[in-house]
Amino acid sequence: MRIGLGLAGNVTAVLVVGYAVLYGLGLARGRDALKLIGLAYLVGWGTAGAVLSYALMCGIDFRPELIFVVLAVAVLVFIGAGRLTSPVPTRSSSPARSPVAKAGVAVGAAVIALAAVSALIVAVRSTWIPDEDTIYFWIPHAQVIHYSGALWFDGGVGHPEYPPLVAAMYALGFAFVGGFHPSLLSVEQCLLGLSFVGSALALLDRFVPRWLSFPSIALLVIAPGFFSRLHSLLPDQTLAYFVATAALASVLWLREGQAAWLALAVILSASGALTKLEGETYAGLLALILVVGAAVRRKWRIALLSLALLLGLAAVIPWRLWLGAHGLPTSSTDYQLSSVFHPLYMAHRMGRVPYSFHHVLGAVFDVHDWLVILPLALCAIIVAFRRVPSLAAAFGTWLLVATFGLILVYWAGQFEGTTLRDEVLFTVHRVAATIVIVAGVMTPIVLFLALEQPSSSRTG
Amino acid sequence: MAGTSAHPNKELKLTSDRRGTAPTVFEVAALGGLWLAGALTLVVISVAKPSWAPYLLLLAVLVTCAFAARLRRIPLSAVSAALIPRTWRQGAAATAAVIAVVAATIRVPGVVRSAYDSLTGPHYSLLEADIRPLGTTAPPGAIAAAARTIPVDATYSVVGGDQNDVWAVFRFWLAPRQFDPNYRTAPWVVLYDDPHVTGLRPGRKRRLAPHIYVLEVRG
Repeated sequence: MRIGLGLAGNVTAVLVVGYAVLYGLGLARGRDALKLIGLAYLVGWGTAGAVLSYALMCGIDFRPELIFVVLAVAVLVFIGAGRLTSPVPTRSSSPARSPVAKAGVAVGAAVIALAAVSALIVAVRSTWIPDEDTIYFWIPHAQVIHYSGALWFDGGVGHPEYPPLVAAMYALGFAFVGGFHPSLLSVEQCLLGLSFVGSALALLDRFVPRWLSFPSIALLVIAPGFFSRLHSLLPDQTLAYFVATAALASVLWLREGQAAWLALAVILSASGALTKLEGETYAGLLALILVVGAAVRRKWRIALLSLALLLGLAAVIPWRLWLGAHGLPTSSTDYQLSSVFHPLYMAHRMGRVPYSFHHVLGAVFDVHDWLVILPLALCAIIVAFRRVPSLAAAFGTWLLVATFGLILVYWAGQFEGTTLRDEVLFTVHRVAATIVIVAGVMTPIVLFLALEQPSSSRTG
Repeated sequence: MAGTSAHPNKELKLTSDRRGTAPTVFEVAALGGLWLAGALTLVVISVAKPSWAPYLLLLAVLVTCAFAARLRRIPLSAVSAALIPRTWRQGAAATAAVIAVVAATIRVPGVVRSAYDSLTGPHYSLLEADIRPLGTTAPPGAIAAAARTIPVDATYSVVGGDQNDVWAVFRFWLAPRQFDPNYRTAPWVVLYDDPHVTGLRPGRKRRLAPHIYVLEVRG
């Protein structure tokens, strides 16, 4: 009973924060609110995690009453902001009319529903997945917060430089259920994954017809690479949720011109950056592609506004300062960005490239893990290239740079105590997930914009 | 995929005049019965031949769509017209959607089976569910017994076993107890797999599991 109430309380708290954020942005008002419940949960999870992380950095004790006060203040701030913002109009794609399209929507919806129910059953009935990194540092980080009420000062836990958002949210889960129960985190992670699915469907539904969005999202949610990681306590897939939803929000901003979507993309990028080190790279990449894309098309206003996405990147600066102030490493001990700029160092390690290249490509194109998500995305880029060249190029560039970035990490990385072979085999499938998940949610958009009448196209 | 050209979705609009009269109760019952019989047959076959399940499900989806079309009086011409794209882009998008639906549908039996296995598999209490995954590295009973034996505010060490795996698992479960890598100074020492170490201080040795003990150092 206590556990059930604790879980329900946790979900409610996250939803309240999420709806407050959406309200503050001018979203989720009126009849749109229920449709955006998935987005509210995802944004609430990210925002609550970021707020609690900053509170911990400020030295606020992680006690239930203080957690409540901190989250309540955040909610009030966002509700206050909502009084200053105008509501974003509710939009819905036109319903399918042809019988074949209707059948596609129905089958897609049924697959999503079945996958969601199955995932929840597995999460509730199974134990948690004891990945090595989960036991070494992700959950121990949360344990430190849970037991000491503060962030890790003494460096006694592995990888102290990893951002604290996930640990803070795991610790929040422990606080709500009243004890250290890693098995319940699987349920929370599953809910977060399903909320991402709901977010993607709701955001796509603003303009992408359901005969395209439902099958695409059904394919993503049921892909073994996605489904099996719905319960994982490793934050790789969590990062993918934030990155993919930030990308969707950016497209909505370009299409609708509402600042709320840009602000949402910033919040999600910041959440991603505070989730995992790669989150910073993805936030920077999204900003860079939007700025360069707009500059190439001489849309200077969009280019200038896109720079706001760098705020997502800046979200980790307080964390770096905190690490520095406590004598902890401020960047990853596994790889340094600066090493990429040392030609001799990189040339000396050139032999690592073919192996990394082979396995990274193998991971993203793995049919057993990701079915045909990436091949469909590449086809979508080809189909859309003539009609919406900028969007197709931006999407293609993102996929290419993200994939190359992953190869670069293995190329330049110095993974202490492990060989390249082991490092790649242990990590490549989960870290590559973000690339495929972003591809999965962007494919229906690119396909739709390729079909749209040129006169009404605004994004490409 | 042909039809109203003004619509951005490029979908065929099925006009209401193509629809016939509503189906009779007899027709609904007959079609429903046929559908049920067909579905049951497919279920029986898929139970007998589990590897066929994905394709049988695909067949079931197609049959269900056909029955629904029949019940809703959707003429075959409307369906075939909807399948003919007006532009190559439309054809590509529709093909992508069909591939996505087919690939997703084929995966459904695997996903449902995983849920079924979870439902029919062993049920764990919360504590068991929390500690059981650690059993791949060390006996969960020993880890739980160590947690019961060593006081929460105590400092402990581990000797024996793999430092990366066994030690990590004990550190994971015994938090917030302080871990001391030096077993010569720690007041509590977990002795894993009868380790042969020197310098152990005398104390009271308690058995946690076969070949796993905890030593409470005297004084």
